[in-house]
Amino acid sequence: MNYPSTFLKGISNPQDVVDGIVSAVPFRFDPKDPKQIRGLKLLQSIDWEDDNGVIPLLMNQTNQKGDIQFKAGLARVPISCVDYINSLPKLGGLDYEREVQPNNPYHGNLIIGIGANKPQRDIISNMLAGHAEFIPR
Amino acid sequence: MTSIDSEKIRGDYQRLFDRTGSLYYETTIKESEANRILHPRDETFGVRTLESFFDSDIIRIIGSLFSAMSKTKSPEIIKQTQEITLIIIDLLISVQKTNYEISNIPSLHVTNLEEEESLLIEWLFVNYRIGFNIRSEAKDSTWYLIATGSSANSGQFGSLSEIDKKALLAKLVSIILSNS
Repeated sequence: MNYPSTFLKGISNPQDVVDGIVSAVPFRFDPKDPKQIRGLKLLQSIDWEDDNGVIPLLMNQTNQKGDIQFKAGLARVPISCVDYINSLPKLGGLDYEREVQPNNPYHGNLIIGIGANKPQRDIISNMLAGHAEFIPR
Repeated sequence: MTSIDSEKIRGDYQRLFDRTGSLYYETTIKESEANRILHPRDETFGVRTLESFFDSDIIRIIGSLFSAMSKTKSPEIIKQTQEITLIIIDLLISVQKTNYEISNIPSLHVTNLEEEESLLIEWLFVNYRIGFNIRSEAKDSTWYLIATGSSANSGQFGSLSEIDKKALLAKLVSIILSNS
């Protein structure tokens, strides 16, 4: 499967951005969130930056209440950081996929094993955030 | 800063660091004071008391730690955060004693992730970031230093339970001073 060089992460909470710098909070894997669990994997929603259509689609995305979902904006992350993270000692196992949805052809997931321990999950989210470029609303 | 002799600043600044580039500092907070400073659940303890200990720059930088601790239920997270807080305060006081300006050091960004029994402490700079993931089990707590953007592939990280926190924080603050 082909992937673009970058993916996007929606940021719902404006407090997760400080002076244009994205916190690691939006990048956390949470094993207590049923939406993030699929079998033996933990998933984190992302959107592939296949073309210019993905940013307006995400910026206009609404939640179940009808409110704008990503109130703060988006974070752009290079896919190359996944290889970097997997090369680090005691980390690894970070993967990704495309998971097209009916109303979102860009949708995908970052994936780690459900057995990843807390330090591994934390450092992976820290590293992802470190590679992020903020795209304000 | 402009009113201070530049030669003096250079001399004081150099005396901040040892040969490894780490920061020299003194433990200035006495144990009895630490208990008063770090009593986040004591309702008689408020901003006024903090101000009696520290100047506005230090309060600005570390204030979010106190706010987060006051909302944290886990005694173990509070204990670990208190330890880090005291070391950072000592470091900042030592830096100030050398007339080094700390007003351009950003505030700590602290997020209480209650559902995960975790506290995320982030020091976010344009070109790099430093952070601490404080977990309810100390063995799971970690630190990291990562350059951001195109230089991001140069991270350092490790367990907080297996490291000398004073030495680590001295090194991290020295990096902040060198880059600010």
